[in-house]
Amino acid sequence: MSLLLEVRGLHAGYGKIKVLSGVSLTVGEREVLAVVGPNGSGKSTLLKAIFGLCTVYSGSVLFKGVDITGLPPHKRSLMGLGYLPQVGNTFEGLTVRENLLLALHDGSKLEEGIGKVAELMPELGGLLDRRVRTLSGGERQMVALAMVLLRNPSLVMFDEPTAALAPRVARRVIERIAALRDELGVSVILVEQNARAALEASDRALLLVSGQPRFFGGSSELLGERDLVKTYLGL
Amino acid sequence: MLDVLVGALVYSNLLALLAIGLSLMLLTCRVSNFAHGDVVTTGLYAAYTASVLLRVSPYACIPFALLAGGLVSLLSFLLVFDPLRRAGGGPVTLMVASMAVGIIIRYSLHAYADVMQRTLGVYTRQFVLSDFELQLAGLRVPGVLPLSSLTAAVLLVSLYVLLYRTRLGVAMRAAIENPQLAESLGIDVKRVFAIGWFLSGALAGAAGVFLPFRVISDPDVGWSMLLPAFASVVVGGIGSLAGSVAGAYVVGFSELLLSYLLATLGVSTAYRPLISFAAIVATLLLRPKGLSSLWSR
Ligand SMILES: Nc1ncnc2c1ncn2[C@@H]1O[C@H](COP(=O)(O)OP(=O)(O)OP(=O)(O)O)[C@@H](O)[C@H]1O
Ligand SMILES: [Mg+2]
Repeated sequence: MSLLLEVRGLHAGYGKIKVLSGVSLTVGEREVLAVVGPNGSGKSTLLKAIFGLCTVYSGSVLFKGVDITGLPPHKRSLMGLGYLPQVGNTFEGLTVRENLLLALHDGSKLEEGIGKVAELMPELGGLLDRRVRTLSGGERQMVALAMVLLRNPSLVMFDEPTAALAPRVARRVIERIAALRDELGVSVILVEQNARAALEASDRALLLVSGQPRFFGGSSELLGERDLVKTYLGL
Repeated sequence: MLDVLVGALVYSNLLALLAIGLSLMLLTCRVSNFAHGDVVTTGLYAAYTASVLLRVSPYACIPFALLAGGLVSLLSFLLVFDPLRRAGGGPVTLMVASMAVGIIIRYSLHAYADVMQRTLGVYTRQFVLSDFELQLAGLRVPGVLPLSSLTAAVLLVSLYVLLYRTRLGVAMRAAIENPQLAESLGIDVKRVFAIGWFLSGALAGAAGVFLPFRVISDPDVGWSMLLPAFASVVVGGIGSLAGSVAGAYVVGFSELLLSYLLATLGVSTAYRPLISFAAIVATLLLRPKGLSSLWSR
């Protein structure tokens, strides 16, 4: 299996505030990696570091074999790296149509893109000219997902996509996201609070504790490490 | 009285061109740009110089003013405001920096005015330009009235079309709302903001062309328009582009009509700037969202 993403000895944070120390991981083609850990352990920061939105002190990020550590985020995005942040993942002052337009690399393909979205998420079809601000939480989340998928990414990073949802719905969404791998052939990094659902749906797992990697390997192996999951994930 | 109305309309046209740029710069970089008045003056001298060299009317040299104003504004963004914004500079830091930028532009223009006077042999300080007159509905009006109205209308409508009907405009509004997300979608936020700054400066530069037809001009003349321009932004509602334009006409007309009224009562016109101050204070106290609260929530 060839490597899509490789993170080597990453130390990252925000200016003087150091958050991550010595994180390494790999993501292969068509692989789902779950990132789990207690609150404040640096999961969101890891995604930001991979995407170029926080300070990297040392270590490197390789995407498709290219060192992208110093690249601005928009260039990473053009290379096929998708990122769905925890909050603020749509433009609320713009209409759904305008949001989708921005998601497309090539704006001239708007109608084609909208057709694709309407196929994947028929609910969005009737909302195209509404401002996102006026949509429900679930509808907004759908707009955000549509925006990421329209870009034909090879790797999509989700930061707690289920944060606002009831546990039962959350599990369905997690399974839905993991299924993207088979439907669209993408790889996924999934940061999740619902650790059990995430570990069951993923291939590999990274456990972060206070900014340091405590486990990196198969998801089922992590579920088998009774002490680790009990102490850090409360399972 | 007709004179006052003509004056008020011309003045408001120019304020609108200035205020919308101030708003755009507030939105992109959170800077109250005190250098923006001096960008107006840059446009004035660019058009004046071109008109002397090419022996045509300054009105025909509006493109030079657009270009000069745009470039100066773009440079100030690239060299000063964008680096400061990235380094985490707050609104106060940026505002003080803008005062410094304004001083640099203004005194460069002072120096340039001397060079221009010597090499081209025209007055560059305390000068006015003579306008042509035309008959409009049986009234004699100065050319600056239709020309400044037309220029303001064309430029403001173009900006509207750009912002609301093109992908670049959608990207600009998106980058203003959420720069991080815009970056993550592959929008080059710095480039988009740079374009916004160029356009803001270009509009201000265009406003400069009309000033010498109305007021005695020198390298400080644009600076003196800054206060009413800020008043327009506040009256219109901070953060609203349409509001800034509406605010410009409210401030422009109130300032000229009120000071005319006061003058007939024997009060000195030296108190004129007070009207802008009063408009700012009254808006912030009574209706902080300004005119924009009338059409949006
Ligand atoms: N923008 C920021 N500036 C400074 N420090 C930050 C910033 N964002 C996060 N931190 C700090 O970095 C640490 C890790 O935060 P991070 O958001 O990565 O954790 P997390 O694992 O995603 O937590 P959660 O599960 O609550 O989302 C925390 O101590 C937090 O206070
Ligand atoms: Mg988080």
